[in-house]
Formats: sequence, structure tokens, C-alpha cells
Amino acid sequence: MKIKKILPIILLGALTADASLAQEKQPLFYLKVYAGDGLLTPGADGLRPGSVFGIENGSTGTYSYSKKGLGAGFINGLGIEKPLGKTFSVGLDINFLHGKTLRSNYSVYPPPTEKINSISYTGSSSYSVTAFVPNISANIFQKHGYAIYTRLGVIIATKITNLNTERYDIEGSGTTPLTESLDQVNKYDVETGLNTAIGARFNIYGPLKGTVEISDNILSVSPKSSHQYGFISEGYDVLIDDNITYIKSNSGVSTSNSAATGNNIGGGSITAIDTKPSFQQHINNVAVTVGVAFAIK
Amino acid sequence: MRSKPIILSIVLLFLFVQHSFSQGKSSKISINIYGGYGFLNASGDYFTTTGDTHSGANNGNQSNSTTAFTRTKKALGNGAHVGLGISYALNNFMSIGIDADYLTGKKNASQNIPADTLTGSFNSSHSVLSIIPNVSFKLLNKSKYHVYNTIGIITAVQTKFDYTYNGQQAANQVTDSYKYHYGSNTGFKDALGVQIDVARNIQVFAELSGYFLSAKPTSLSAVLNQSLDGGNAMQVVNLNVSYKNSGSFNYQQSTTDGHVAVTNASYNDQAPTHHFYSIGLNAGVRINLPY
Repeated sequence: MKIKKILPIILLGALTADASLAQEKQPLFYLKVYAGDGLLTPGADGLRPGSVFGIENGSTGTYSYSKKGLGAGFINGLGIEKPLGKTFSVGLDINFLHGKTLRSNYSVYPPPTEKINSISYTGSSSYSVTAFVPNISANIFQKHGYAIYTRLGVIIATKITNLNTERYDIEGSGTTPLTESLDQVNKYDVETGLNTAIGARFNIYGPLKGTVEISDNILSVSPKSSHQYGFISEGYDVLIDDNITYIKSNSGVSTSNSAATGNNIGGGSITAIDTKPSFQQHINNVAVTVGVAFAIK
Repeated sequence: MRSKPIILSIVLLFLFVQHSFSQGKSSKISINIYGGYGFLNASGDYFTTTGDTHSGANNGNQSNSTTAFTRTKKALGNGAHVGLGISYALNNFMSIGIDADYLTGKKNASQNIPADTLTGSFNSSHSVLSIIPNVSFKLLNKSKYHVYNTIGIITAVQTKFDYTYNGQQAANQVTDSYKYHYGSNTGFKDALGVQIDVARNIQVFAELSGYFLSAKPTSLSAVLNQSLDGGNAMQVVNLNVSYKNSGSFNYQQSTTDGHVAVTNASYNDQAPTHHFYSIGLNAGVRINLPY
């Protein structure tokens, strides 16, 4: 378990901490690097299918949807911090969230009276966030060799990637199996969120300090556009390519313009340009990170 | 009026505190009461209504369509907060405490889509009773005031959220009501405030407070009524959904036909997440106790 890997690092840092921190003159600034994991994802969006097909009286089936939400995954970053005195300091972090891919699936078996025998769905969502986090920290407790601090920061997410995939397989008796496979890439403007943390900094050796933090990160984003592509196959393939722009106002008119080529025998393609109401995605986590900070005098 | 006994209690407490401290005792325990309002929508949930899809002129393999939509401006989480709490000072910089907080809010919004002559109204109410263990840090300490930061874990012990939607289009009318049921959920609160001494052992405080509670319901009960053709035909759907992250769909349905067609359906599904998010202002009074 990841926490087991982190704990020895914390203990090692604590054991090697010396008693000089409280007597030290504040450095000009700190340079730091850190890494950790978004262990919990309270309030984050999970992955669920666009539609649950085949549910009707007499249907049976099972489902398993992602337990964690957007926000889970490995985190690393670097930053600079400028002490403003004994209590306060300001800083700027560059934070990278390498999202853990979410997976969901279901299988539905309609009643025997239906021509369809089974419908299955598998989906995934992979994502990453690169963010600048300007922040202000306050030392709340200082002792020999260590200090405890809180931090309040603004997450400025400058690069967000999100790829969602979904595949439906429908099998019937005496009919050709139907498969629909669609990928959707969401694109974003700069988005903002909130970062709060409580942490400890302790001396390791000379100007080298160790840090351990628990942070709460709340980032709500709304895609500006999406590109959806894939195919529907039922003995022949129909390629799908859809560019969607999202309307962020509280009211409006969605539009859909599509053009089809080919026919039902030889396959073909559908190309569409749509506008739709915007939607929100919540990328939240409670993260534990450990790191080192180098004091520049 | 309910406020009279509260005011009387506060006055009595004030007198008691002043008397107790006249003997020069120092205090580590204090109580506080506060009120406030979460007015900024910090990505809480809203409600969207869509109209009919209108197909435009189809030209061979070309097709186009339009669909109007409108959604509520205010989100879940906006509303008034009242609360009371107790805290214990660990030292000059840090104190721990526990608050009981009650959030209540109502949202009423008209939902009109003129293109479809679709008119409707959305009415929701929500409330959250939560216990918030917290830790406060003094960030800046001056003789008459101090600036502090409070971090708390919201433990929602009683959450309510229900809404109705009434819509009318030509001779058809829908009346839907949804009621969610919740267990315990946790969230996060962070406040940045200033506390000012106004009398011996009495302070007032004001804080900018972020309230972030994400609640997953355990079940949903919904009644969907549809009156068609001026009431010549009625449809009623009673829906019961149990929320589980995985398992069997367990879909069951029974239908009774007649002038009023009644459908009872129940199944399992993944729980949605309801975001009670807001940023607002709280203000209150803190009284040091002689302990």
C-alpha cells in the first residue's frame, strides 16, 4: 500500500531532524520538490456510462462503476517559497497530477422475449492536470528542528487533458452483433480551484529540509469543446466524427449539423458539428505528499 | 417568538461570564454562535431543462436540429448558515473545537423556453445539519484583534434535498417530485477570519468561509406525473432507486393500465454526487468561559 511507502520516509526525516531550525535565521527563499498521491477523491466525478441500455422488466445484469473519482493519481511538483518573516511566506508551486485511469463496466441481459441477448459496456477515463498554485503559508507552530504550517493557495490549471472511451457490444439471436466504440477528448480553458494544506517542515541536514503535507484540492472545470470520434459496426463500419462546442451561458439553443456519406451496405461516415450546454467536472482530492526543500541563504 | 429565549440566554451567559472572570481566571474554553450566508456558487449543482428537438430542413444526407435549454442560476449549497460551537485553546496559537452547523436553502426558478411554448418552474429545498470538528490557527496576533484560519471536517449527519418540477406544454402537463435520502457524508470547510475583542472575554468575529460538502445519496424516491391531452390520459411513475457502486441492476417493474396508467419501478444504480458548495460570510460572537 502506498501509505506504507510514505511512512518510512516521514519517519526517516523525523529521526534525522536536528535542533537547529528554531534558532535559524530565515532563508532568502526555499526551492522544493515533492511527490505524493491523491488518496481520497471526495466529491469528485466518477465514470458512468452515457446510457444504460436494455433495462426493462425481466432484465438481469451486473455493473461495476469506478470507486474513485477524477483527482486520484500520482502527484509531483516543484516550487519556490519566500519567507516574509517568522510567520508568513508566499510561494508558487507547479503541480502535476497524473490521473489514475478510471474504469467502469456493465452487462445487461434483456428478458427472453426480446431479440437482444446481451448488452455490455466498458468505459475508461484518463486525465491529467498541470497547475500553477500561488499560495500563502503561515507557520502555526515552531519547535526545535521542525515547524508546522498551513497553506492556502489558488489552483490555476493551465493544461487539463481528459480522454473518455466507451464501447457498447450488443448481441442478438439471428442478428449481426453491433459494436459502438467512441472516444471523446475534452479541451479546456484555464480553470481555477482551491488548495489548502497542513504540513510539517523538518531539518534533514544543513540547508536541506524535509516536508510532509496533507492537502485538500478542489478544482471544478467545464470543457470548452470536445472531439468525439469512433465507429459503429454492424457488419459494416460507419465512422463518426463530431466536434462539440459547449455553451456556458444559463440559457441558449443547442444545435446539431451533420452530414452522412455512404450507405447501409458499404459503410460510410457521419461528420457532425454540434453545440451543447456546458457541464461541470469535479477534480477533487485529498493528497499526501512528501518532499525536500533547499534553503537558499 | 423564538428569538426571545435565545437573547435572554445570551444576556445571562454574558453576565455569568463577566462575574466569573472578575476573579481574574484565565480561560481556555470558549463558546461561539454565528450566522451567515453562502452566496457565491463555487461549482455547486444546478438544474437544466431542455425543450423539444426541432429538425431543420434535411437536404439529402445533411441534417440539422436545434434544442433550447435553460438552467437555474443558483446552485446547491447557497443558503443561510447558523451554528454554535465550543473550542479549547491548546496554546497561544492553536485551538481545537467542534461546531454544529445548519445550512438551509431554497431555490425557485422559472424555466421558460418560448420556442417550444414550454413553461415550467423548478422548486428545490435543501438543508444540512453537520458536526464540524475543527482546528484554528492564529495567523496574526495583535492586542485588540487577531487573524485566524480555521480548517474543519464537515460531517453531515442529516442531509435533505428534494425538488419538484412543474412543466406545461400545450395540453400536456408534467409534475415531477424527487426526494433523496442520505446517510452520513463528509466534506471540508476552510475559513479565514478576524476576531476582535469587544469586552472582557467577549469577542466578535467575521470570516470568509468556504463550505464544500459532497453528498452521495443512499436512495431516491420519485413520483413522475404526466397529464396528456388536457387530462384525457394520465401516467404516473413511482420510482425507487437504491444507490450502490456495483452489484446487480435488480430492475423490477409493474404496470397497471387504465385511464391512469401507473408504473412502479425499482432498481439499483450508481449514486450521483451532490455538491453543496458555496463561499460566503459568517459573523458571530465568542464568549470565554471561566475554565
